[in-house]
Amino acid sequence: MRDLEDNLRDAVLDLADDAPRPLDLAAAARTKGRRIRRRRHIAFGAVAVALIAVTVTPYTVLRKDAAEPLPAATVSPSVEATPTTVSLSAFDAGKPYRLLGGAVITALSRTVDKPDSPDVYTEDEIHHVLLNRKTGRYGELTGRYGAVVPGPDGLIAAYGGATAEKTTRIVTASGAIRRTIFYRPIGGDPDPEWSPVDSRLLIPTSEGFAITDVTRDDDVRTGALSNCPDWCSLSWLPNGKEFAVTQRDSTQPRSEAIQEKVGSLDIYSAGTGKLVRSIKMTGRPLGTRAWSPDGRHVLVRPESGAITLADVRSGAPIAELIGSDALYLKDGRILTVDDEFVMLYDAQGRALEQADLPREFQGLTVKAGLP
Amino acid sequence: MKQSLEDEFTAFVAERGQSLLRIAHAMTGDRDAAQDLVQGALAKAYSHWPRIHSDAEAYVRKILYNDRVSAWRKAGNRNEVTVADVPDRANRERHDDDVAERLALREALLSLPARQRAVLVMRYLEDRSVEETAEALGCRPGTVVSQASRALVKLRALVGRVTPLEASR
Repeated sequence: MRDLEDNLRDAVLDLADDAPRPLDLAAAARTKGRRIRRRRHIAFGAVAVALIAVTVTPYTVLRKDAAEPLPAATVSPSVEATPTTVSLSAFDAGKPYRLLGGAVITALSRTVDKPDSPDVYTEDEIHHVLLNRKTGRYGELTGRYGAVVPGPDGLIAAYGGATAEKTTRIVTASGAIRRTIFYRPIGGDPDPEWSPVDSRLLIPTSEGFAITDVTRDDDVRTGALSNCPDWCSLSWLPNGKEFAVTQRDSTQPRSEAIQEKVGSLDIYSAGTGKLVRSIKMTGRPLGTRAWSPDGRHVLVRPESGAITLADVRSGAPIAELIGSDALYLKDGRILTVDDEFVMLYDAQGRALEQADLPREFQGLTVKAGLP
Repeated sequence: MKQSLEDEFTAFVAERGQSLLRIAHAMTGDRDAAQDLVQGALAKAYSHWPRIHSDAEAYVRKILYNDRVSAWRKAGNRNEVTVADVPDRANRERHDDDVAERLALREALLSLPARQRAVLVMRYLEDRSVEETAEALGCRPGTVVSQASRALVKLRALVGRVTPLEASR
C-alpha cells in the first residue's frame, strides 16, 4: 500500500479536479469590485447618521477627476460648460436632504472599516441609511443586505446572498419584510428595477427575467433572454409597458479574453414577454431612471467610459456627463451623482449647476431620487 | 480604470480562473462555495487592480486562502463536518486499499479546520514550501508545520492508519 501522503496528494487533486468550470467570473468580479471601491474606507452604521448630521464645512474642490476616463469619441464632455456653483445645506438626518433640481438623497450605503483587514467585506458589514418617506427622516435599515433599491410607496428592494442564489426582499424603511423572492442571478449582478408607473419589480435572473407585482404574493411572470453581455442591464422604459435588455455586439469576436461590448438594446413587452423591437446602442442604460420622460434619450455607460447621453432612435452619443450615477428629473433635466458632488444638466447634456456634497459622504454609495 | 487595465484583468481571469477554482474547490469541497470564494477574491483584486496587477496571482491566492479561513471562523465552524462513518478499509488488494483510502481521505479532508485544510492544499496541490505557505497565510513557518502535523495526525486517525507519520518535511 502507498504512503498515506501519496494518497492524500491524490485526494486533494481529486477534489480540485471536481471544481466547476469558470462562468462569468470576470463580469461578476467587476461588479463586486466596483462596489468594494465605492464602499471602501470608513465605518458606517447607526452612529453615522448622527455623524453625518453635524454641520459640514463646504467642500471646495469639485473632484472632476473622479469620473471614469472618457472614451475616444467626437462628443464634447459637458464639463467644459461653466455651470453655476450652488451651496447645499448641511445634512440633517431629520429631513430629506435636497440636491439640485428638487431631487433628494434616498439612500446612503457604507461598509464597516476594519483597520486590520480593510479589504475584506461581507454583507454583514454593509449598512444602509434610507429616507423614510412617511416620516421624512433617515434611519438605518435593519437586516443585512448587499444593496438596496428604493421604490414606490416607501418600499425598498433589498437584495443579497450567495452568487449561486440571490434573495430580494421587499422591505419598508423600518425594516419590515413584506415579501421574499429567491432567484439565480445573472452575470454582472444588475439591480432589480422598479416600474416607473406602479409597484412591479423587474428582476434579472440567470434564465432571463422575472416581473412581479410586489403587492401580490402569487404574481410572478418569468421569461427567457439571450445574448446579454457580461455587463447585462435590464431597465423599464418610461411607459412602464416595456423593458430594455442590453445585447452583445454581434460584430465583436467571442473570446473570454475580451470584455463584451453592447451593440444594441432589445425592447420586450412586459405584458407578453415577447421581443418587440431592437435599437442600436453602444452602452448599457443606467437603469429605469436613465430614460428621459419622453423616451427619446437615455443615459448609458459604455464598458469603460463616462456616462453618455444618447439618442434612442439612432443610438448616437450627444454628450458626456460627470458622475457615477445619473437620473432624469420629471422636467427632463438630468442629475448626476457622485460621493463628492452632484451636477444638474439640461436635456441636451449642458451643465447647468454643480454642488459639493458634505465631506461625510465620501466613500458612500449615494442614491438620489425624487421627493 | 483604463481600458488596458480592464483588458489585463479580463485576460488574467480567463487564464487563471480555472486554476483558482481548483484551489477553492479543494478547500471548500462545494462548487457554489468555490465559485463564491473565487469571485470574492477576484473582486477585491479588481478593486485594487492598478496597484496589484503586476503581482495579481499572489494577491488573489492570498485573499483566497485568507477569505476561506476567516469565513470559516466567522461561521462558527459550521462548515466542519463530522466524519463518523469513514468507509471501512476492506481487506482487499493493495490497489483497492489505496482507492478506499483516497476516498476516505477526501471525506476526512472536509472535516479538517479550514486553516489546516488550507495548509494541506498549498502543500499538496500547489507544492508550496513551508515558507511560501506561511507567507500566503500570514503566519510563521512554525505554525504551518504544526498545522500540517496536526492535520496529518487527524487524517491518519480518521482513515485508520497506525504507522506514525512524519508530519511535515
